[in-house]
Amino acid sequence: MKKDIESLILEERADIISKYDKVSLGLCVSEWGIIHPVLDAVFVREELPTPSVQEEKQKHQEIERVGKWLKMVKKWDKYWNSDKMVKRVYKGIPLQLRGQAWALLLEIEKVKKENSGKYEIMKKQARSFSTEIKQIDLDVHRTFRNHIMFMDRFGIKQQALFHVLAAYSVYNTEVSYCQGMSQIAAILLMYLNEEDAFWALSQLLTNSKHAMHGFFIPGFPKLHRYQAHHEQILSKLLPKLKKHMDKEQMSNGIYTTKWFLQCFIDRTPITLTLRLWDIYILEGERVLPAMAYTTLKIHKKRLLKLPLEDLREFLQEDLSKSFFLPDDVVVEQLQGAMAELRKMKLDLPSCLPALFYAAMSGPLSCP
Amino acid sequence: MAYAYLFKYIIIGDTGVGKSCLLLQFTDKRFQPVHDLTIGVEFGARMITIDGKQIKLQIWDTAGQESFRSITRSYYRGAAGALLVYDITRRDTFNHLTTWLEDARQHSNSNMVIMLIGNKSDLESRREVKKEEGEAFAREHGLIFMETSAKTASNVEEAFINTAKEIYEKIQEGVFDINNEANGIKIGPQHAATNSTLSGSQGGQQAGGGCC
Repeated sequence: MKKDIESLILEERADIISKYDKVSLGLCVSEWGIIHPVLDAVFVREELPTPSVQEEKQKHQEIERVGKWLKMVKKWDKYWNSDKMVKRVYKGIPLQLRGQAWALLLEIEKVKKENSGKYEIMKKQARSFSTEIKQIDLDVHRTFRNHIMFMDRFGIKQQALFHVLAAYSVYNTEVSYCQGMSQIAAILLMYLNEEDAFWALSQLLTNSKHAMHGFFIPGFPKLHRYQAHHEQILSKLLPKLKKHMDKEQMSNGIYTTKWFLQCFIDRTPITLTLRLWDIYILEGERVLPAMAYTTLKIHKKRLLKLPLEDLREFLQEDLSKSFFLPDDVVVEQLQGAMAELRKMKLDLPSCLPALFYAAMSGPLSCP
Repeated sequence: MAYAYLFKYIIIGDTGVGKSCLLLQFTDKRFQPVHDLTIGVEFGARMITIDGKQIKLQIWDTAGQESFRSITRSYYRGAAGALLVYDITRRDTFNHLTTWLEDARQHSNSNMVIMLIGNKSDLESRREVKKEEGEAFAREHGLIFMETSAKTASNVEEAFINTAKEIYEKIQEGVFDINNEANGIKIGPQHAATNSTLSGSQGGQQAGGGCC
């Protein structure tokens, strides 16, 4: 009997894996390197917006920026960490160069060289040893399905997403696979090829700048630390709003989980999400508390009037459709917030609460 | 909107069984074939009427992946009702019910009403768990049981409303301490207002118009 169940499980698993092996016959999703002139075009929308003067201007700006970025990536050693480069990231990396820029910022070539052939080995090992095949399959099925790359069930980008996550689940056994990671891998796969996306994910989880590892290991120690820190920022800088949210029983555990675990994916309009990701990849984790603060600060007046259900709808749904301000303005505000928090020594959570959580829930990573 | 009572629910069960879809069908009367992943907790609300009284259901929807239980558990305690959901087309989601139930019972208040739900009843051809098995499990563990389809909306209203009826009955029987919000029940402003007018008019009668 026991053997029967075991063989059934093996069968099911082989069945799932084989679905991601097939050559996709459906919609031919963009090969790597295709340039999408308007980003929105890759998302399926109910109605197409008419291009505004603002959008025309943006398009023009984008072309100019591409030239500057092309020059910059060619001489990366010269520009790396320069004020000019930082400034340009804040202005938004042109989408044609986003993948290249992310790869440079995350030092993908370096890790790839150090781990030559490793990805293929992990990918192969995952087929026999990953315990998360089923979960990953379920989640690939519901990750960025409104994006043309991931729309086609078992299509090539879904295959890449499945393989990256499965390989990672055997590569980092402490984290394995945790929900939330599929969105991150998917956003990376929009701009990077499969192997680069794997290493980008690995860098985000384990480098000291991002250290997302602590967000995804059992017990979520880093999430708790960031939520406690967010609470502290609220009581110091937005006390009236905090009082209102407390009264409505809107605890930050409800609305900040996706903000912190996946750096605002699903919670801001995609154009803004990508701008935030440019900055996140450059600056690392300090973006998270600052953007959480910025979001509440910008919308404070409205939030103060809303009861619990409307708070939820506004923060979780409305803001993901429109942030009510141009992306450039939001980024400017975010920069202001980062400076403000740094001045107040509130830019990152201290390690003290982390030690407290360590005592409660075991291992953690605290930079 | 004014309500007589507010009941808090929690929806639990394995990943991908349709918890969020059930909630969306109940609150918005629509079905999203591919629902976003629930990370941590989400919630929704809707007003229903029982025994002529307006009751607000506040429903907490949780992530199904096991690692998230450390987060979602803290929401069990403040719930008056729980929907424990499995997928009739996936046997393993049924096999895990015992663990879910133990977890729920351990972390919730003892009067919590639990409704067992076999979801995706529209996928008859892919059924792996017989209806009788669900019924037997429910009987054995003292749960209410229903098969639902978040897709066709079959039995969705009933599942949420029958749970509320059960809670309401328990309130009438005095089983729930409604003054303790930790039980997942809150008396609404409307109810409080009705009570005060009632006692006010009674007071008036007793006073026999002495105020004039």
